[in-house]
Amino acid sequence: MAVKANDRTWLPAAAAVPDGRLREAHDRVVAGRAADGDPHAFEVLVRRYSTLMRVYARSILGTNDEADDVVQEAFVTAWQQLDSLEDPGVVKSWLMRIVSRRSIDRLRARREHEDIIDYDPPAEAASSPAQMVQARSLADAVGTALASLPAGQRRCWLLKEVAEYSYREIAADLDVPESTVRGLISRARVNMAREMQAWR
Amino acid sequence: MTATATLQARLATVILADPDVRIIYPTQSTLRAIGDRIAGAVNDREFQSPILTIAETSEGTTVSVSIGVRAERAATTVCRRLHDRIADEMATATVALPVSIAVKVASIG
Amino acid sequence: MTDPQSPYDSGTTDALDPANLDGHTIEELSAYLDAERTPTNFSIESSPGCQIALTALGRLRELTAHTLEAQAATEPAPPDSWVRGIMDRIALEARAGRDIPITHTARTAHLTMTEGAVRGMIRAAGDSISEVIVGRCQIDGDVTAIGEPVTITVDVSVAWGESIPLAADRAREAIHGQLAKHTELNIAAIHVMVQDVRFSRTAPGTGVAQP
Repeated sequence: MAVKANDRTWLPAAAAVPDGRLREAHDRVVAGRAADGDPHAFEVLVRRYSTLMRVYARSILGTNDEADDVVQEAFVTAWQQLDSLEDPGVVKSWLMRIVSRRSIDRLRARREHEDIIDYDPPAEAASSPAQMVQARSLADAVGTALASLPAGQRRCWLLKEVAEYSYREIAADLDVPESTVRGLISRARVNMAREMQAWR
Repeated sequence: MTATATLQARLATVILADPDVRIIYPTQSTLRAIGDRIAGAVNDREFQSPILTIAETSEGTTVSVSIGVRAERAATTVCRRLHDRIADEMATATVALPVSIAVKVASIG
Repeated sequence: MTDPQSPYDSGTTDALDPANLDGHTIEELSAYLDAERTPTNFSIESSPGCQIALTALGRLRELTAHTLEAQAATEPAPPDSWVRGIMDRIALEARAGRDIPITHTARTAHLTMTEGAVRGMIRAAGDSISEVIVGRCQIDGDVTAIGEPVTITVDVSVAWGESIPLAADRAREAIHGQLAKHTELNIAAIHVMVQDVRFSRTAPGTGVAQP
C-alpha cells in the first residue's frame, strides 16, 4: 500500500484562509495561529521577516550565502519553539534573537581556533566625507557607517542594539569577557557617530 | 508476505475507501526516519511506509492508525465507523483477534 | 532641557567635537549612556554640549534598526523555492497536543481526537466568517476526561469597518456549531478576544484598533 509523498497531502486541507487576508493580519494573530500549528500562518511569517533577517545576518556574517542558510535554520528553530513564545505579538524581535544565535553559531564554527573578536577582516574602506555627502539618505549613511566598522564592533553593536542582547549575553555567546564587549560597543558607537558627522 | 503485512494492506484499503477519510498519516517513527528524505524529494513520489501499526501481543492483536477526516460528517461518527470496519475486517484475518483498535483523528477538514 | 538640535542636520556645529563637551570625552559619554545614565553625573547632565552629544549617540539605536528595515525594503522577496525549502523541513504534526477520547461501546475501541485537530477545526470555523481571522486558540480544562467542562479562548482579528461585537458573535456561533458537530466536548464557554483590527489595502484612511 503506497501513500503519496507529495508534501501537500500532509498539510491540513482546511484552514486555508485566502492568503491576502492572513498576509495583512497583525503579527500577534499570525504568530498565534502559527504557534497553534497552522503552516499557512507560519509561511506568512517567513515571507514577512525573512528579508530583514537576511540583511541582519549578512551584516553579522559578512557573506550572503551563509546568511540565507542561517535564516532558513532560524525559521526551522522558530517553528519548533513557537508555542513557547508567551506573547505572539513580539514574534519579530524573537525571530531576530534566533537569527542572532544562529549567526553566532556559524561564526564559531567558521573560526574554531581563532578569537571571534580579534579576527577582523579588512573593514570596508571607511567612508570619506565626500562619500558620505553622496549618501542619498540617512538610512544609507548609517548603513555605510555600519559597514565600515571592524567586524567585532559591528557584531556586538548589532547584537546589542538590534537583537537587544544584554552585555552578559553577548559575552557568554561570543565567549569573551564582558569588559571586552563593553569596549567594542563603546568604540562602535563612537565610530558610527563620527561617521555620521560627515553626513550632511 | 506475512499475515501482518497482508492485514496492513487490507486495512489501509478499507480505511482509504471510506469517503470521509482524507488521509492516513504516517506513524510517528516513520516521520522521524524519513523526515529529511521527504524534504526536497520530487513531488508525487510514492513510497511504501507503515501507515498502520499492527502488533501481536499475548492478549491479541493491537492496531493503531492516525487519520485526517473530511468535515462533512461528524468526526466522531467517522472514527467510530472506522473502528467497526477494522474490527469486521480483522474477524476474517489470520491474526489473533483484536484486543485494541486505536483510531486517532489528527485533522478535520 | 532645551530641545537638542540634531547633529545630523546641516549647519549645526559638530556635536561630538571634544571642544563642545565641557571637559568630557566621547568615550566617557558613551560609557555613561551604556550605564543608562546612572549614577547621575551632574557635570554631564548640566552641560548642554554633553546633552546634545548624548542625544546624538542615543539616536544610533533607532537609526540602526531603521537602516536595516530600509535595506530590507529594497531587497527582493525570497523566491518561492526558498520558502518551500523551509516549509518542507518543518514537522507538520508538531502540535498534536493532548488526546481527546471519543466514546464507543466496543471494548476494543480506543478512539481519540488530537487537540491539534480541534484547534484546526476552530480556526476553520472562525475563518468561515469573512471578516474574521483566527489567531491563537487555547483549550482549557481536562479534555482527556469525558464530560469535564472545557473553556475555549480564541484570539481573532476583525476587518476594519465591521462591527466588532457582531463579528465576535458570529465567530463564536460558528465555532460552537463545529465543536458540537465534531466533538463530544462539554463546552462551558467560548471567549472570543478581538486582538486587532486589520486594514485592507484598499480601505481608505487609518482607523483606531482596539475594542
